[in-house]
Amino acid sequence: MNGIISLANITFKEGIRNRALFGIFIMALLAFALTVILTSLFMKDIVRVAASLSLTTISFSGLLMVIFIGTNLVSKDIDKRTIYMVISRPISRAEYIVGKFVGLCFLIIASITFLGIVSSLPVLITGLNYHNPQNIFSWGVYITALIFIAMKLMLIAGVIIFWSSITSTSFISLVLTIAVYIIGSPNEVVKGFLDMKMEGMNISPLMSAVIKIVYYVFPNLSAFDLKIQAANGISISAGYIAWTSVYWLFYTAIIVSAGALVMERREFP
Amino acid sequence: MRLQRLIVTLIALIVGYTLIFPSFERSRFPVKEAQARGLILPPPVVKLLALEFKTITADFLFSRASQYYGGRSSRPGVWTKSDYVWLYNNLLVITELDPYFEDPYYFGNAIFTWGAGAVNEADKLLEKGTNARTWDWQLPFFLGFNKFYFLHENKEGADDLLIAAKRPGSWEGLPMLAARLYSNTGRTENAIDFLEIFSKNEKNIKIKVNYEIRLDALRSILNIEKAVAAYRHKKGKLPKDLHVLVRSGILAEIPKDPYGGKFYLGNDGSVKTTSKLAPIIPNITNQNEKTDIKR
Repeated sequence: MNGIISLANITFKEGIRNRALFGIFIMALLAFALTVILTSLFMKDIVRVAASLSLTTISFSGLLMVIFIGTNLVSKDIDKRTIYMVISRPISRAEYIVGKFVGLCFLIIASITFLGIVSSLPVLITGLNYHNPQNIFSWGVYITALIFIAMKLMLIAGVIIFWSSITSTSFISLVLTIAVYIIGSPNEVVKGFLDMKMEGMNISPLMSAVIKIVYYVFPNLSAFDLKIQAANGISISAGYIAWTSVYWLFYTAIIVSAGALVMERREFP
Repeated sequence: MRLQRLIVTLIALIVGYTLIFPSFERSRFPVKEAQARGLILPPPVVKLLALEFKTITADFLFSRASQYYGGRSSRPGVWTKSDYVWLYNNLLVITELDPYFEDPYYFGNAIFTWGAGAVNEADKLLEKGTNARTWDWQLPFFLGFNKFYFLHENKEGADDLLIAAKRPGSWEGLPMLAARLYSNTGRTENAIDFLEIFSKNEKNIKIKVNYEIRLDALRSILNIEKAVAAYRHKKGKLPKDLHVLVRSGILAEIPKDPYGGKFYLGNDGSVKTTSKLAPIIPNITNQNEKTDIKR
């Protein structure tokens, strides 16, 4: 347990010191500043637009951070053979994987908290400047959406851990993680097409089976996307939050454990 | 020496860049014009491609549509039916991506009703918005107005007003207005009531002024209508023209039409004006040219 915590700390510090993180943060800060200017292009629902742009910025920069810094942090050890130094220490390979994952989670929580606080400024400023009685924006939903973005990023961090334990180059795990993200974001919509059974749309049984497998095997990332609700102030039920959290917990635990298992069995040349 | 040459080359290149830029920009213009509208994909495809970026895609598509409208409608003559079709399809995609977004409903209602003659399309958007934005009283209110004013469907309009009346923050006079619509009375008075609320809730000064001008015209019409009714009550027949009302002392003077036309009496005693009350939003195609939008 101590091994996991200290490895997590090292991973977190390494991530914070990464120059790419500064680049991503500067991009995010510029986007927040731009939000205030861009809202002037809209008519009435200004606060909605500000919240939508802010949350998109956070989600996008978080994604860049996890995918680029995350793959770098995890695969680098294997890529550069520094893993030999780690596995010669009194820490199991499974602990190594979990430690890396927890370190990434620390990085995600810290970044989303920082960006979340900064992102509230454009929303506050536009809210003060444009009063629209038909807007029911709520900070509670906004914060919930931020938490869900962090959860989604942690799940993706788990995916990175998994691919990094299988492949030996960081580039391949990066590409595979992006593939999971691209499949995971709309796969609920694709499954929806299948369920609708639209007339004139012929889906072969094989295709339908593939879609179903993809739906259950790949993460359903759209469940964590509450930007529409947060921007418009639509309340989210406690049941939704609870069940999505349980889903998240299981999926992340499975993917990290699978990564640990592969790592335990893996032979290093 | 080498450094100097490099600096001179760089300066020469920058000067050259500055010189060619206007020509480059000019050559872009027709291409930009041709692409200004941009492609509209079917809503399900857009939803699929937008991944988790649905709200920002909606924002982008909306600002593209409103800027296109702004750019085209300020140049009279270039605004065509196909522009309306493009805009309508755009708004359908945007409201599919984020059904709670207020602007596309508001914008669609503003451009498809007055002058454009595509009230049915505006109403379809408003119905979608009324169903999604369950807390918003203004969308069913607009819907009620459109049915009453443009489509002469008083009963349906009143139904929508009652939906609006149940929502928070709505004007307390709505149930009364709905009752008058149900009973099919006081058309001009009802229109005044509607427009007073439009004007009160409008932040855009230009649109507000347009509402006020129309209100001015409608109040004058109401005055004349009352005078006609009084004359009929007293003499048992319709007045021949408006001057009769002035001569008999019922009407102090013939009010001026703020749109520059002249009021006159129709054969059935209804008040008309030669200006036909010009459209409230200017620069929006010819008022008499009906645009029938079909997908």
